[in-house]
Amino acid sequence: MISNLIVLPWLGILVLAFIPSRNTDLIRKIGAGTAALCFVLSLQLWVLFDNQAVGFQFVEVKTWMFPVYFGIDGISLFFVLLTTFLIFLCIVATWESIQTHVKAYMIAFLVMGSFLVCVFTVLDLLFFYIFFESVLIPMFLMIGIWGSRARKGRAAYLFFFYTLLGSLFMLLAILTIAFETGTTDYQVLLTTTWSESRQIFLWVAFFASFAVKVPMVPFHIWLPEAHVEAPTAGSVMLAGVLLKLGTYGFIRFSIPLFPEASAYFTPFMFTMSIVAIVYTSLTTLRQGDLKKIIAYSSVAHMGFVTLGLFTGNVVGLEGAMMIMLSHGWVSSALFLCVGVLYDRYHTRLVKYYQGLTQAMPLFAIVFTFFSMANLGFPGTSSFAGEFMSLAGAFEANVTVAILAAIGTVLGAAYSVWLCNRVLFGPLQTEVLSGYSDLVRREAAVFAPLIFMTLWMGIYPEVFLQPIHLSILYLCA
Amino acid sequence: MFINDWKVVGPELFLGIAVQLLVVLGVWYGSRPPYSVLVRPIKALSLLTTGLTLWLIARSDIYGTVWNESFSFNENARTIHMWILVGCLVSLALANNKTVYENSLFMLFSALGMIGLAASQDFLAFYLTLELQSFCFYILAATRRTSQYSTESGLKYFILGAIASGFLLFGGSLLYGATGSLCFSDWMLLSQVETPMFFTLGMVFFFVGLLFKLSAFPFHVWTPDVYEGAPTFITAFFALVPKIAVLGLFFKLLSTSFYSSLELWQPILVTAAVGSMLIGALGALGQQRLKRLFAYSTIAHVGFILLGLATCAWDTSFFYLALYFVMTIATFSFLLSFGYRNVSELAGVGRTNPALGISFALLLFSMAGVPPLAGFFGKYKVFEAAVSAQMYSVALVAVVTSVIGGVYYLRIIKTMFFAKVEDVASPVTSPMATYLFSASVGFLVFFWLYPGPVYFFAEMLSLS
Repeated sequence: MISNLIVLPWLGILVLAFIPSRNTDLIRKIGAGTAALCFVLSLQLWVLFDNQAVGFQFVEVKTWMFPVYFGIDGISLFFVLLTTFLIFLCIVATWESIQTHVKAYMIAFLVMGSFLVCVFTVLDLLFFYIFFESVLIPMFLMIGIWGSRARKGRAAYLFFFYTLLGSLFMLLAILTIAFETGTTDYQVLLTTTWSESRQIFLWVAFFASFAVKVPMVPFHIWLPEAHVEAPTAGSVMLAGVLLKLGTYGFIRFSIPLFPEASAYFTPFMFTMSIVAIVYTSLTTLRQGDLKKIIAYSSVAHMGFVTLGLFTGNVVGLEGAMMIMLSHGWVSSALFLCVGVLYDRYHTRLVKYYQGLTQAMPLFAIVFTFFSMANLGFPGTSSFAGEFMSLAGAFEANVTVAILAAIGTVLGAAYSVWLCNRVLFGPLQTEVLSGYSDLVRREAAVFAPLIFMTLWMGIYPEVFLQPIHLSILYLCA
Repeated sequence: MFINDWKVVGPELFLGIAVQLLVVLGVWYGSRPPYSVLVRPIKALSLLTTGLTLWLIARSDIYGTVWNESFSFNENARTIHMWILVGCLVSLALANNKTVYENSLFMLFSALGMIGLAASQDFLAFYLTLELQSFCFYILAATRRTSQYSTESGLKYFILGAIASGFLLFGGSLLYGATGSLCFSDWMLLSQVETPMFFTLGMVFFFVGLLFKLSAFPFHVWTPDVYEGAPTFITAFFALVPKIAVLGLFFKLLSTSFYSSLELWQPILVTAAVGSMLIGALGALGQQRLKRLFAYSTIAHVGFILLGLATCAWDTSFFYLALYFVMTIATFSFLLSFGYRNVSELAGVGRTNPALGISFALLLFSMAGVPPLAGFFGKYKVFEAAVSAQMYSVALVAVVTSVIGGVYYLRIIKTMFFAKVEDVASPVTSPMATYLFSASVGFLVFFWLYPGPVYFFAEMLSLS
């Protein structure tokens, strides 16, 4: 089942390869069709997923030089769903805005989708590394080829080298593990124990890679650059899925494989998370570029995730999972909102926008809704996540929880202020001429995201059930 | 006894006689105008000769040591010979020279030398075959007689190569003085008993010569100039073939003759490896000329290969070399098929010809060691060897240099895809080269699905 999900995009690519690149409409349809089929397949995984079973499900073995296992547990299930969902959505959302090299664009998306599913399902450290890095190639090309401005070269560079440098340290750690245990099989490694000093060394090496990807504060410089220069769909994939690779790495590898080191570094991670939350929230207030605002707020939200991950209790960890998922819908939707504006006016600077409510009421509703979701308004998915994460932090350390809670206030400040600047006030007719509200296709893209946000905000139990047992197992 | 020796060297004998017949043919018909008339037939005949030799070696199942234990032809040596000949075949196929027919002949002569080199079991045999190979190389480097750069490259190569040979000879004489024998296996036996100072000194001088031939730090200085000055298909030949023969011999020496003085040569080789990686990575950063850039990238790759040798992980070196071999074929067939010289000429290739751009980008990603492309597995194996030998700091340097290496590979990709389109024309000058390019990039991309054979190949070579 998982292998179908991995192979299907490649079949789509094979079909695309034989279609002349002039025939853009057919190419888009085939790309979207493949992505939709993948999404349906991944829904099937969710339906058949057994909430009561401990360990990995749908396990498959592929024989490489050694057997490589693929499998899904509560933690990875929703990441797979998020990936296939967003890939499909991105293809539909950028139906018209991408006009050059459509075929290469579709191929890049499908390749990325396949690799991301591999990352989230593979149960082998070496292959995790391989797929983790492979995602760089399509993303690098996407920023470089379909990016918007001359600065994109620098952005693509930063993105590539930050990640490469970080993850090569992880590679050294993986080599050390492979050398000392003779295997990189995750399920076997779960049963091995390391001395504390060795755990600390390995943990730091893994941290170098994941902290860049999350990104945690001193390593976050690449993110605003990459987000600003990437095309809309690239930003959506970056925020929606690629950032989660880091936090997924923490919850999948760092915490269960090196529990003592994780406990040892908990104060460190708390400090880093609080710095990320407060500092980037303040930075967000100062930004003048729509995409940068959302990028920095993503860093702040990922701060809540790392906070929850290291609380060491079930509530905090489940809260972290919830924020990751919720951030997947909300920030993607916000980037798509920016994309809607950019497609019409070709600028992302806040100062050119004013009073859009009068000309684009539907857009204003959507944008306000997701801004509210971004600040963690009760009833939206972010609230569920942030609340649980803070509750977990409160249980672990009261001071930390209080300091982190400042972030929610600051989050409200930048979100509401952004809404205020873009949507209200008098309409600037001399700068922006010619208005059109959301077209049917765009509304159709936002509808499922709104639905997911509300669903997770009002009744998160559905999402918590599959996660619960895996998290419980992790905390025990 | 004597007859038996000739049977063993049958394929080499065929190669030697065939080349000399080709020389006679060249002298007979090539001495009157138009001189260029012989280029095509001789190239075709050279390809045929190489192919036939390859076939003969593949079929030959007579192994043994010949001529007073000067050369040893075993299964291992035969495999390396076939590898060398495949390299020759590729370089001959890539050759796009239109005026001088002697190139093909010199390539064949040097192939003969390299075959002897890989099989040599005795210092004298080793030195003579090495010089046969080297002299052909000097001439090949200077083959474009009207170009100053080509002459410069030939001259530089010759002078520096002569100095290296001097060191090598001096080392050999010291080793002879210490052991009283020129035979590699005698050295092994004697060094197990004791290693006098002269033995160590001789060994170090020996390494100087070999590291020079491998273009490793600190004897790498000739590489960029020679690579740039020589015609591109000759550069391809230099990059592809001699590394195989020298590595084969280096492996034989380290694993037998010098194995007992491991703690003496290990630091030397580690220094050479780390230095090559650093020089390769840093030197290429500012290069605008593609061939110079790839010369530095070769130095970096040699550093990785040497690290494999230094940690006694022989199969790692051969594995890396095999991948380097394919990546070099891809690089040079790309350069030859479209005639690109500068990085700036590549501007916009990714936009005007996406298939070509993406293939070349994949090749560069592979060289930078991005998984799942083949280059990653080579680097992974080298890192693994370093970690297994407990050389964590060396592994760290290797990691950092491969990130720095990524910078200049990515710079090319950036130029290809992100820069403004200036020149649309990218005419194919050699269809053969484009076929080779596609095939080798295909190998690099799909290698990870079925890597077993290459691992097995490297493993087999390392078991002598």
